[in-house]
Amino acid sequence: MKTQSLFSSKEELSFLRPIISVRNLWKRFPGVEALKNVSLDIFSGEIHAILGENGAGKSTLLKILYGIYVPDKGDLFFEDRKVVITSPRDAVKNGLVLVSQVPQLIDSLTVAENLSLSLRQFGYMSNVKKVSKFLSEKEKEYGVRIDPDVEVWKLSYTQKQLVEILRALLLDAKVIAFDEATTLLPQTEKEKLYEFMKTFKDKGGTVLLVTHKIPEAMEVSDRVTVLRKGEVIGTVKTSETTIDQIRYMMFGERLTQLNSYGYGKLSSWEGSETLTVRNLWVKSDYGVYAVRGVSFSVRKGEILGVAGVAGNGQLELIQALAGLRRVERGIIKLRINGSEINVTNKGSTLIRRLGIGYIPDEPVKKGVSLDNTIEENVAVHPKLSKFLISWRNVKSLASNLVREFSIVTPSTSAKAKVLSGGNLMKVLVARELTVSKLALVAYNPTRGLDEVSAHYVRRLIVNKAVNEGMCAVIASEDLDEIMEMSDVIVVMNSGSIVGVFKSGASREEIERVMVS
Amino acid sequence: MEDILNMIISPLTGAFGVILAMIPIFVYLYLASLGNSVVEKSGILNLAIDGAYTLGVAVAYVMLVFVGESIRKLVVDPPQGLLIPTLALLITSLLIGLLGVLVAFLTTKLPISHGAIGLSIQFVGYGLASFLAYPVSLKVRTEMISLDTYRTVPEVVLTFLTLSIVIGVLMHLLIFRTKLGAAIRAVGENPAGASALGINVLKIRIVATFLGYVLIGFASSLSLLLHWKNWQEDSGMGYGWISFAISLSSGRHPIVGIITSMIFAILIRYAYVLQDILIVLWGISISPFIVYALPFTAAVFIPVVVTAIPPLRRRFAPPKYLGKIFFSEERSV
Ligand SMILES: Nc1ncnc2c1ncn2[C@@H]1O[C@H](COP(=O)(O)OP(=O)(O)OP(=O)(O)O)[C@@H](O)[C@H]1O
Ligand SMILES: [Mg+2]
Repeated sequence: MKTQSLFSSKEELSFLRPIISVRNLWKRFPGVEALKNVSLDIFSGEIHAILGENGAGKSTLLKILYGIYVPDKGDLFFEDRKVVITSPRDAVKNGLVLVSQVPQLIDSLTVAENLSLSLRQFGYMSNVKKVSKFLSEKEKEYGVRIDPDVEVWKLSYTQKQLVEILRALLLDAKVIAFDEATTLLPQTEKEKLYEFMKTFKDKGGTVLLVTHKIPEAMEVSDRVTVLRKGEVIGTVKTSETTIDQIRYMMFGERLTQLNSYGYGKLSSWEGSETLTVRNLWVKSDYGVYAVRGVSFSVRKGEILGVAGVAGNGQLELIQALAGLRRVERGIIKLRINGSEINVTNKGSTLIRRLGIGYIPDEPVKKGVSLDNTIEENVAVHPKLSKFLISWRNVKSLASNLVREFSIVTPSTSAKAKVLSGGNLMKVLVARELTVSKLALVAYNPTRGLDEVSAHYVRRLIVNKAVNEGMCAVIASEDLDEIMEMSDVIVVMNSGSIVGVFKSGASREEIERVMVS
Repeated sequence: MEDILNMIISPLTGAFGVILAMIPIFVYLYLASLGNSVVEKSGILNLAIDGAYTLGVAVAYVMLVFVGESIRKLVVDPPQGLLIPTLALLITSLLIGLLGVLVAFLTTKLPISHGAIGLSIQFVGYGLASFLAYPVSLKVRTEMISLDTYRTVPEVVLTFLTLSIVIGVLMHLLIFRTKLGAAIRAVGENPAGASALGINVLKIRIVATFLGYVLIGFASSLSLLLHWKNWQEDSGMGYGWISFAISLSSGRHPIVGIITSMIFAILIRYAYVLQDILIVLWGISISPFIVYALPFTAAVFIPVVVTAIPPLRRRFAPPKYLGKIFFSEERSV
């Protein structure tokens, strides 16, 4: 995609013209005021970052702009026209398209079928083949390569996000809003996406960016708006602010939690290996070997980080350790109180009962049940309830967790689906950390959490290792996270371990092994 | 052997007769199951189907008498044959289609389970059927009105057979080749996602159920006009469920439905013959109740087998959102 800045001379001018204005917006959900009197201007041709802690109201704001939620009060203006947006269709007509963290595509439909639903130039009776041909041509133009006739469930996460962006472009979006769309992307893809945003902006487009990574916002945005508990704390120009100022706006006094942080990592646990894996072979969903002969052992109180570019077998390894994916060859052993137990292919219930916590890759799909309450989501764990559920215990445990992890919720009997993305993740992480006595097996344990919560979770994991002798295997696409927590780092590439590093190894060296 | 063959053929004349007797049953079961499939593809659990079917039979009967009388009043030399039953057929299809619109509206807009809505409409359908058709049936008997149904002759039967297959193929193309089909499948799989893509969920569901119920109305009328030729209390009851079962065991696939409908048509028409064959050949006697249950057993059995085969499982899996209540302001991401 080669482009020239189209409006360098008009830049100053267009910067003053708001493309979207939000005035005195209110949105209330049962038990919570998600947006309180929010007013905001988004200028044409800027990248505008929206930051805020978990549950601040960022997604709610974007969903209102996109017509998924209807505000209780307040006005929206697109290019100075007052508009009423009650469906995504209205938003698209006004030039706004939302790309969210969970791609809003229909898994069982092909790419062409999905996009046909958005493209108004194709009538309802038109043949999908025509759409597919049209897409192939457009893809060439934009330099995207995805087979339009492939069903969406077969695509990787990155490819799905690409389809969403392609959709935005095909709809001639003037404003593309990203709701944590970058969070789960591997670093290289993230950079491509930033590049795309800048090109889009140079062509006169506007970007709204919701993210938890302050450095990311600093790098790509022109202005930053901070939301807190549903209110606008302020809007600042990125070039005139600092990370610390933004942090303070986001977290206020909660920031002290961040400062008091730092773990005296002096594990005093000796000797015995809690988890041993020998020559493990595991297949992926497509029936090919994703894990090829992996061996390692983790001692009591030790944290093993699994680094690697996404899709090199980390996910399958983690799932196999949790008993959720068949081990084709090899062995997984646990040592509990001096005796060894072979848990290979013994099923996840046994593994969880033995005291192993598990944080899966897609928390919303695989980790919590959206239609159940927070309490029920806690009670369902095999380690916490066996045959009869003691609701009194569950209730008090749940409210403890809500307090400890500062989960924003009306009550512990609220259904999980009313929580914000980050708070939902916190429910899962809190439950799993409570049950992991022996070990924790995790994939991206802090995804979607705001900075303070992410630090809290990392510290908790490290503390449980140091103080209680829990061991952990943690795979993450965020190399910083792994380097921060791990005693030993293994790098996976094409299903095998291609490098082993002690904590304190240099970042460059690890990255080199990741991509070689 | 001779005996058995004779036994099978005796009620009719020759092999062609065997098939001819089965075709009307195939046609209406197939069309009703097609209707059910397109309704359920859009995510609506179609528990109202048996009520709609029973009502359709009754409405077709009432229309047949009403249209017949009106035409005889208007025209001195009333036309014989196709006109009157065809008018009754079309009017009934349209009316049942409108009932479908109501089903789509209630299941999509009310926070009430599809089961509750479907079953209520089913019982309303049963009640309304008797309410409408019973007085007419008395009148028909006392005034000795002759009913202008279709004649079960090869020309007519084969025309409807061809028509049903053409409709089936068109339905297949509609569902799998057009944007409308993609939209129908989308709202059945993931209505929130479909809505985010720019689809009006209610609108698409109304289109899908209207189409589906028109087919169910068409099928139920045909069962009266081409097969039973008369109405009595409870006519049509149970046939909605059989079509429901056919649709289910064909994975709601229009082309596969041809085969399953055929199997069910054979079972329904010849189950009793099968009973006799078993006795004559092996001396096994099975209860008529078991025979009656055969189609339903098949309805459970076939999908179990189909979904046990991994490559078929995804293709024939029910729509993910089938029967779930859709709240548009609910979290989906
Ligand atoms: N559909 C809903 N029903 C009820 N409450 C909701 C709903 N969506 C959001 N909320 C509540 O509104 C508040 C704001 O949620 P929102 O999703 O906007 O937060 P967010 O800033 O995007 O947080 P995160 O960073 O965790 O994604 C939260 O308290 C959340 O529980
Ligand atoms: Mg959010």
